[in-house]
Amino acid sequence: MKQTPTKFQISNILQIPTLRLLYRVWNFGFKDDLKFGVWNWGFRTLLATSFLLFPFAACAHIGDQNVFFEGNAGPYPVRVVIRPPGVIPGLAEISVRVNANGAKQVTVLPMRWDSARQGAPPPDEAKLVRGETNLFNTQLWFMRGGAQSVEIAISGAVGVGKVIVPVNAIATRVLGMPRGLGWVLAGLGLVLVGLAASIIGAGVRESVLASSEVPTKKRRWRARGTVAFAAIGLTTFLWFGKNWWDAEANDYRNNRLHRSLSLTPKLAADNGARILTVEREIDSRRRNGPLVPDHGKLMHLFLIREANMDVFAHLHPIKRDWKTFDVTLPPLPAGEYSIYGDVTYETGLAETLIGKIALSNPGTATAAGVLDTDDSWKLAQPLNGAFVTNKHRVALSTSLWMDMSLEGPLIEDRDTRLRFAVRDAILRSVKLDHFMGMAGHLILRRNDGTVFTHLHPSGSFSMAAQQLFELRAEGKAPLKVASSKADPLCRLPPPDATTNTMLHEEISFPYAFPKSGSYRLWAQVKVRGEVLTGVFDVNVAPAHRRFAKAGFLQ
Amino acid sequence: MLGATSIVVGIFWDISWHRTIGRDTFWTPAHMAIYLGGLLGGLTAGWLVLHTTFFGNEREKSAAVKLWGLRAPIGAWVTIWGCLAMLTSAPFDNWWHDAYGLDVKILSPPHTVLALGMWAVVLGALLLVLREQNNTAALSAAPSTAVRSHWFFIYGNGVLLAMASVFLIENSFPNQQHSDPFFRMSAATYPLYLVGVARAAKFRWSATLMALAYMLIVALMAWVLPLFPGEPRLGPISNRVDRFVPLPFPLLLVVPAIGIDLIRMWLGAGRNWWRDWLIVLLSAIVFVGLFSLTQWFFAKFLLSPYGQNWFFAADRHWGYTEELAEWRTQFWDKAGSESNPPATMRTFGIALICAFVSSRVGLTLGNWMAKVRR
Repeated sequence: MKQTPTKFQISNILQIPTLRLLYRVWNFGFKDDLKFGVWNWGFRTLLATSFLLFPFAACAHIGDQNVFFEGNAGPYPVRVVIRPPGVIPGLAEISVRVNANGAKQVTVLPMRWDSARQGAPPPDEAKLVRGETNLFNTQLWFMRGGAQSVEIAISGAVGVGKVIVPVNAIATRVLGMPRGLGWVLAGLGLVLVGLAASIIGAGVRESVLASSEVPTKKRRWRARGTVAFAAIGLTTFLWFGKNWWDAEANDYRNNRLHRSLSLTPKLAADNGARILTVEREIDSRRRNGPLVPDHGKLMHLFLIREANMDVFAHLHPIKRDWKTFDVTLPPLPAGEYSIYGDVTYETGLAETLIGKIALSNPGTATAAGVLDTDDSWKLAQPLNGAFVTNKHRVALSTSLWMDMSLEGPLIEDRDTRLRFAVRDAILRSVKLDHFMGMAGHLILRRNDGTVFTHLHPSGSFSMAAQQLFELRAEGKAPLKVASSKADPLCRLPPPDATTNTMLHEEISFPYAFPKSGSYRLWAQVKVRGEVLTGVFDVNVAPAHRRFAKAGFLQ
Repeated sequence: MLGATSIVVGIFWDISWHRTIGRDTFWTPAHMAIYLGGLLGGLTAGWLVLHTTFFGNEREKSAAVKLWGLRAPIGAWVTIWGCLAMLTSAPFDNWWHDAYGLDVKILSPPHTVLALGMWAVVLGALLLVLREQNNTAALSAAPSTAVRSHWFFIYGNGVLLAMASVFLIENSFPNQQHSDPFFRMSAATYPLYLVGVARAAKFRWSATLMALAYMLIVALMAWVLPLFPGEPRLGPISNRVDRFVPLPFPLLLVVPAIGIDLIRMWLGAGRNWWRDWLIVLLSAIVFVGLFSLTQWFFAKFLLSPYGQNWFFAADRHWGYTEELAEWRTQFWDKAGSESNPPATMRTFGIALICAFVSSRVGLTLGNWMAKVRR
């Protein structure tokens, strides 16, 4: 199967100075253009003026579609990256690194939530990437939007291992036309219209004459009149074409392009506490069913104070009805806050709902005793893009520290692993409790809010979605969902009690920053029953400046 | 004509490929057949332009039309235009897939550019045939080459009708043949050829022969494609097909075509304005009447158990995304439906107007084609 060049290959090419210059010139030729309607009529339909490719909306995260998985596929430890297509139907890129010897074959199988294994095509074999010993790569078509999954199967010396990774198949890309292509198409269009009009004129003028007969003056004028008439006809045709194109582009934007649903907040006071009520937006066209709990919570709500992200809260609202959730606010200081609500639907689609709220000073309001034990909040120094510190050790409390270790510089779209460990006052390693089904959580946001992600040590997907896909693949859950207002048809198993007793010394999160820029990271762990949050700021460099190798860490 | 055949086979094959295997690349055999057809036509026409302009003798030059300082038969120019349109559609379509996703339907702006290109390649070939036909004596006294050109013309029109039917296929499944769009679109399209272009043919039963050629092409594809094994390579799969999926059995265009030929014979061969308008009016009425009645009942037949066999192929034209359910043997028209509103008296009134306009445009084109000599 044809494979698109990876960043690694492009970067290598760009090390040739002349090509690098060309690439930069070509890059500068791009400019944003979302509006196809700039063409009024005629050929201008072909004059697409610019190129824009950006993640337009959200799924389980904001501005970041890629799915990372790190864990085991049976006996094989694997690291999987799924880069979904920006449009549906489109091609997703799947990379699998098997961190064990003996893997002979890696296959990938797309399974949609409502057809599971019985509706899946034959699996595709991932090919070993040239120059690598354990990195496999392939592409998969996602033909329909909605909750998808990819089953990765590894065969080798110690048998067969499988794992299912959920992924949202949604259109997020708005693509303009590269200027060069626009000019080529416009030129070809001009030639086509000019040639068509000329052919019609020549047809009227000469085509019915006998050999060697010369067209009369009258016939010549008739031909000219016909050309004028044809020009009007062709222009009308192009006008229809332009309207059609506009209609298709509008249909894509209004109906197929994914849009983040909103959270509408309301504040109320209750016995001296501030109660935040959020109502989630429902789009009746998306039949994703009711919400299901992801690591025990129907919604993970995050509040981040604008504009410098100095206040952060991670809360777990209680469901009041199918649309409305309540949560007692901790004593967050006054300010404008962005709200992010991570939810998973019964289909397995995970989404981040977004909203805004202005909070006044908490005054004497208190939340003591009414918060969920997993709720937490943190006040920190403001993030200032010009003075981002990349500080790798921060204080969690008077006696605890958190260290962050990076595996080299952070570069846009480059696969990395973010590691965190908690130390005591004399820098000894501290054991971490289980925190909502795992060792820790990492939330990160770009300074302009265009990227927001909630990561787990196992990756960036919803664990509830993974459970749903596993149950459906085994035939233990129905291939349909309840209505949005009802309870889910599919009951997820309770968290495994044995894993909750495990303690960890270090946590790591697989990730690749989708854009360069300044980010704030909130790493959350639980130590001796208390949720602690370490706040770090990092700078991510653009990929094309460093010409760094994209690819996997070992 | 070889190029035209390659194109029409490629189109049917490609649609079958998408509905059977799903996954495709630029290099599928079906795509190659389409582009080979375009290339054959384009190269032949390009050679004609170069030969006539730079190496042709005076007789050849004087038997060509002059365009942008170059000389070639009008058909060569039309074919070149078609080839260029096909080439233009390729990067446009590629960008379209990147911007809006791979097409899951036939009608899109870049596909329309491609369809126009393919149509022009075939039309150009037809004009070259017409040039030869119109420069020879009457059929009865014609040599064998002239007879061959008459049949080529019939066959080429069959190809054009088959291509037009593919363009309308999203509204022409047997299940949609009680719906409003089917009758309107069909009336706007087929009379152009059966009433109009048939005028340029030298046979008494030219419309009938063209309709038969169309039916034979489409039926052959419906019979041959399922002979080859194929399995879906994309999901979700709702219908595990194991053979190439054809398009539905052809429309019975031969019925209205017989009526149109009879009208033309009844009104006589003389050409003047009032006779042409009468032909257009009567043919439109006959087309809408006979076509609607025939398809109304033939669609019922196709959806019945009698249509579920290899000959009528009504049980095997369902692709891998189309689940096995009752809807396959039901009419899809439904009051209030946006895509399949039921046909009403208004539908047939509009269809009559469409058929009238289509016939008139077609007859104008046919009158010109009947006189093409260069």
